[in-house]
Amino acid sequence: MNPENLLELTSAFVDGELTLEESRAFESNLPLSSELSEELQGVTAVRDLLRANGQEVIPAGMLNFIIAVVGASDEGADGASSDDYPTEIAHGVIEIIESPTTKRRLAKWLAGTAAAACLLVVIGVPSSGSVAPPIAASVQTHAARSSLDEPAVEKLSAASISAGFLR
Amino acid sequence: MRVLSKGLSREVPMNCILRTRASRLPVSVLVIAIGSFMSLNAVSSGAGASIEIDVENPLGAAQEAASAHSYDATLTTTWLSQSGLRTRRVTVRADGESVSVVGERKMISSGSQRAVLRGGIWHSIWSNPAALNGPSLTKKYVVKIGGESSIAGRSTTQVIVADRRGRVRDLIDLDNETGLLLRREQRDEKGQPLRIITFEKISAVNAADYVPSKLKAVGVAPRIALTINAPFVMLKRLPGGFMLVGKYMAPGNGRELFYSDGLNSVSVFEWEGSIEPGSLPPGGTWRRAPNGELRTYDSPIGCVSVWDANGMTFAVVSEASALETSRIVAALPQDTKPDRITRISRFLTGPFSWG
Repeated sequence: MNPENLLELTSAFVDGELTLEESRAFESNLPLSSELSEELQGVTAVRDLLRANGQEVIPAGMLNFIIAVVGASDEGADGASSDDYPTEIAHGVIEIIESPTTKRRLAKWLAGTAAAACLLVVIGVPSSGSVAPPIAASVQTHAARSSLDEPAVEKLSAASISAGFLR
Repeated sequence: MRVLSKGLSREVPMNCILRTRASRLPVSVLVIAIGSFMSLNAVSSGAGASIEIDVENPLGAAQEAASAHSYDATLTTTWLSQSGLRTRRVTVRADGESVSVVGERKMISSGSQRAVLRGGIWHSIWSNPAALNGPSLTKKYVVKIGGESSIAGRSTTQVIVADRRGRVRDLIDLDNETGLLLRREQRDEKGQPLRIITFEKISAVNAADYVPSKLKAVGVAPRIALTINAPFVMLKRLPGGFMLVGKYMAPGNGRELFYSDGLNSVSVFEWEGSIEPGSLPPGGTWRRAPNGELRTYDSPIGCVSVWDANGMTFAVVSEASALETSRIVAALPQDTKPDRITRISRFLTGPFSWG
């Protein structure tokens, strides 16, 4: 067996691409061929090293973009949406997982709903020992009191303008 | 017009000054000059009467003048806000019994009563006469009589109020005939105008006898508070020479402490409890306080600062400058135990509640 065939066969075995019969034949030859055993150890070591780096998550749409660039977009054109597209294209070697848009959308809605609920609780339920200071009334009161010592026209004219105070 | 100075216990009649200088002129020239002056004066003010200006209390005298005359007028109120100077027009009617103003809301003054019109009913917002006198104006400021000018077609004399460093802080224009205040410009330490009130138009001003008030207003105006007990805090003086001249029950079961420096006044309002998140009116900005943060508003009345500290809420309504107000705020209680939850919730609700 030439080296290229040996590497291809070993990789196929490690990746689970051989049929049951082919796998049994490969395993039965392992004790007989030191060359085959060494190749298997080498391929397994490389695969373990790559897996040790963990999964890589790429942004939504990036996978489709890559596929389109390499000319594989035909696979996505047969009715499968980007969300349906297989998330593992090299099983056992590197797992490239695209975050599903619908899942992220759902997560956003859930987060938004939770934030709104918190907001309603904070606004609607006054904490104990809290007070709503009547600012506009206080400004009027100050104007009224100060108008006893100074021209009332001046103070009341100013107090007659709301200046943005709604209450 | 005569200049009256109680502090120096002397009166300086203006006509005496004129007579001394005029005695050097030929009699015929003097007669012509006096005749021309009187005729011009009669045209501009309608009469040749003059008033006394009390340099110790020019605003108090103007207040008395306002209650003794009847007129209709239009004036503008201008104030410094975070977006620059803002102006609103207000109409005024005085009839001897009351002075009513109509801006975005209608308010009335009669004796010591003050009321605001809501839903066609007068609601009382004040009913107590002033009990304590504030410090003398000349204790903190230097008062001078300026030149004469014309406002809304009436001859006026200007009173210039400067601080001890010579910075003009207030320009008060009083009607030469009646003593009515026709213009006032308040400035900060840098000479920046804070508030300006100017009469644009005024009808004939007639003397009016004081008529006892017939004003019927509903509601309970703030009552005088005999004592201020804990947890409320009462300082007898505030930075900048502001002395306590009144203590009252404030709206919302709070307390109001009223201070004066002889020219400007400051109210310190206190309530039990921290600020309820989302309860403050729109507008204003967060600012850093000595030990936390406070919310400030610029109103035509003055600067408003609101904050809470150790379970109490404070609001300062100040006619003083921003610098003086910041010193006053710093002298009042500050938070020593910041409530993280309150601050976080305020941060969250801030964009929704403050507009």
